[in-house]
Amino acid sequence: MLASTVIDFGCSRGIANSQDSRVRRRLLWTSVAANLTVLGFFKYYNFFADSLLDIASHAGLELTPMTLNIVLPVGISFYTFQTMSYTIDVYRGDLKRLSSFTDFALYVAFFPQLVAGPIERGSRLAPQIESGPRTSWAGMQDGAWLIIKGLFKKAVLADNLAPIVDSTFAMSDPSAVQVLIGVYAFAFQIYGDFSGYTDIARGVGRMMGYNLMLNFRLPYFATNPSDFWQRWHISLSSWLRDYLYIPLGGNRGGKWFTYRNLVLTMLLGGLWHGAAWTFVIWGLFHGALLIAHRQVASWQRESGWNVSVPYLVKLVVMFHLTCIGWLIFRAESTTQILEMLSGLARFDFGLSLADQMNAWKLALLCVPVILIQACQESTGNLNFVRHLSLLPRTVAYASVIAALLSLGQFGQSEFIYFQF
Amino acid sequence: MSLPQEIETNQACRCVSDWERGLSTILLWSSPVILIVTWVGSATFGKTLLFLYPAASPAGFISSKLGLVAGILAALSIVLYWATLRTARIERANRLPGLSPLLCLLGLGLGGLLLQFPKSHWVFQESVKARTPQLEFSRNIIFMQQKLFTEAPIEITPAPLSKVGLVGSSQINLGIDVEQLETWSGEGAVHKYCLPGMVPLQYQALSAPLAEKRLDVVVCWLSEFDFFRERELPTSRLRWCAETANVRDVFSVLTPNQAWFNRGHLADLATAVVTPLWSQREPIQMLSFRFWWRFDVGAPVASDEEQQVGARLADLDQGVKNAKQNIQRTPLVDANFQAFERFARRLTDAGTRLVIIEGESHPLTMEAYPPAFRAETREKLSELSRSVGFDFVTTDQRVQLETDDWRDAVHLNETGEAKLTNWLMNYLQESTNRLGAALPVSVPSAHPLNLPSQSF
Repeated sequence: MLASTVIDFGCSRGIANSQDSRVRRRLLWTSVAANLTVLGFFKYYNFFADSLLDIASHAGLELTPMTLNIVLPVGISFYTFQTMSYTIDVYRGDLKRLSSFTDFALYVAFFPQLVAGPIERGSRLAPQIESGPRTSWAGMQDGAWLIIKGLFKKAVLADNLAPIVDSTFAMSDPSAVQVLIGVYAFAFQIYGDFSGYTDIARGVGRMMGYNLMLNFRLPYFATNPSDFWQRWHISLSSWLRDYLYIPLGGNRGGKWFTYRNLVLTMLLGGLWHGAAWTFVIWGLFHGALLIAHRQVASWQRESGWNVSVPYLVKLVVMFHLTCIGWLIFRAESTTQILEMLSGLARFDFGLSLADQMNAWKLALLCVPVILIQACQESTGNLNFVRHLSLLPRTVAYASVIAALLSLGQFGQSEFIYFQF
Repeated sequence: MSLPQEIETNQACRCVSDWERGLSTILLWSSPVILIVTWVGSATFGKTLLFLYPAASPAGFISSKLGLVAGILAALSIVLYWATLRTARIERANRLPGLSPLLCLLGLGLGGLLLQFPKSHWVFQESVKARTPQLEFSRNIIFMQQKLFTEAPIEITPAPLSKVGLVGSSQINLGIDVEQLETWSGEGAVHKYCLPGMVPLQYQALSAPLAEKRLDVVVCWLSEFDFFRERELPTSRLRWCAETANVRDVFSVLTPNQAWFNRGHLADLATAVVTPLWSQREPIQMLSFRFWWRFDVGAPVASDEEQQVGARLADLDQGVKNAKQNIQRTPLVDANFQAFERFARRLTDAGTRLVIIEGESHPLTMEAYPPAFRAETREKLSELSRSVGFDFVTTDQRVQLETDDWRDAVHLNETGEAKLTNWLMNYLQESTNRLGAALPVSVPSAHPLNLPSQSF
């Protein structure tokens, strides 16, 4: 992280001070190359080495294993993208560079969001760091609520669902109902885990006088794939849009060119999560969904056949498509993806005692969250609870704290996104 | 480059306000329907949700007190909500900073009190028991709570020879036969206060309520197996009985280093003192998450033998393996001895005679224990018995247990149980005589009562 900080500070300084476009470009590429090399080495070296070995063994060649026993630096995917965006923004002239090295180091290593985001942009965080924190009573209140909400999502929602998910994905031959329960549980586990971390990070930032960006906007209320990516992990999806999809040409070069860009962007988005084939397939799956959505929309435009699909149907369909994505994402291997999908295709809906208890637990934890989010969505207000009148607001606060105290799991379970 | 922003405009706030007014009006108009639906629903499914009973007939809802109370509460809360939205004063109070968190804390406090209210506490405990497998720790601690904190001091008529308490882990639970011992002490005079894997820090925590039971004799079975085991504070074993004095006791037996290392556990126990929502979290989780509706499937049932042991049985090999792995010089050994000393002092100060039997395990398991631990435990307990004034009976002063007397790696079987109980009756009889206590005429001589044929 220190190396990345020094290189990017030096490069951005050089870019800002130089008028020569060739020098500026060289410095930009130096920064990008250095960041990607570090990220590639720590995160992807073993994956590519293993894949090469596999290919070689299939071809009948015997190669000496080249994998390295290295520890992945915490938060490397997050801070690498954050520093890269800073240098690119300075290069593009969208951002005035930070003059102080310590300010820049704080920008890279801002502790609340260091390990699992949101991936901040220089244009948002750097000016706040330069001008210093702005603490306020309102900020303290907002921050405290965000932290409590985040803890609820993590300790109550995600960590109580984790055993259901773990047991389902450890089964050798799960039934359809077990796959459904396990995948629904994972959808809410990963949402609770990741958005919970983001809420805590934003809450801590807010209490210290810094405003971190929104990373989740009710993602399971998305009605199409494009909408989903404007609601899920917004800091990554917007990063990929601004620094990969648009520079690749975006949607300015015709249908097939756009589709290529979408697939490439989502493929890299998948690979960003980790070096595994399941993430590659997950990225491609979402790329395919985006293409299908565009294709349907353009077909509707061209044919003039506008079918009005009810909102609830779109929501349910998109949620289930997302769940298929989560099945791919969570699976240990490509074989397991096929096993789970074939389990689902058997349509075996008999409930054992454990299934009943899992279904009850899932409903008990998720239904209240869905109801609150439905209110947030319908009023268009993410701070819905904070704006309620005295009585329901008090009941909501008390319920969240009571659930946290009595139902929260405070073992040593890490946040899922710490591994990325 | 556009990034999403959180919408927090006045318009968004107004939107929530309008939404609330609309909702409250709808709810108010539907409150009679809600009252009836809640009444009938609670009457029909209330006991299903609480105690896993099959659903009652909806026709009998009129006579259901539970349904009526639930219905009235639902309707009243709607009216209250509507009224608070339309009362100007409350609207103004709505804007007072910090009022809502304050009311929230008050509500949490009241919720905690409600949980401790005898009737609601009984419903809570019974609901947990209904859905908890027999060998779950949560179920055990509920039974222990009911025995220790709910039951009044033991009064038996006619007065027995001795009111005996057996305190400890599943080892003593299986080691002493209550019915056999009662042939000496008198019917209903022997009480077991046992939890699986009970550790010395728990003895300390339970000493005050045990002293209040005004038992004549308390018998414990202790060995290196109890003192050389815990690596960190066993919060799940202490949380449910956490009170200010107990947590202070726990803190006082720790060195500063241990207190720092266990700071999370101490914070856990301190939170348990503050609110029952934390101290009762395991039963609350059982109540919340363990529910099923196909009653024919049924909860897992423990085998007869497991029920008797009160714990899952591990075979001998596994038990020896566990012993090798778990019995070590852990950082809490000294704290355990100090905690036990406090337990012993409290009981003896309360006039209870304390008898500590030096425990043991299956001979193969004993080989897994380092001999130095046994010597150290014996030495420290002997020292304590002299300074505090309790009976400490070492293995060579009591009946010898053979390989055939063991059920598994650490628990006695019925033969061993009969042997040990018989020895204990003799011991208590002799020591009672020695202490000059009068023998009731009706009580027969302790030896050789109810002995199985293969016994010594």
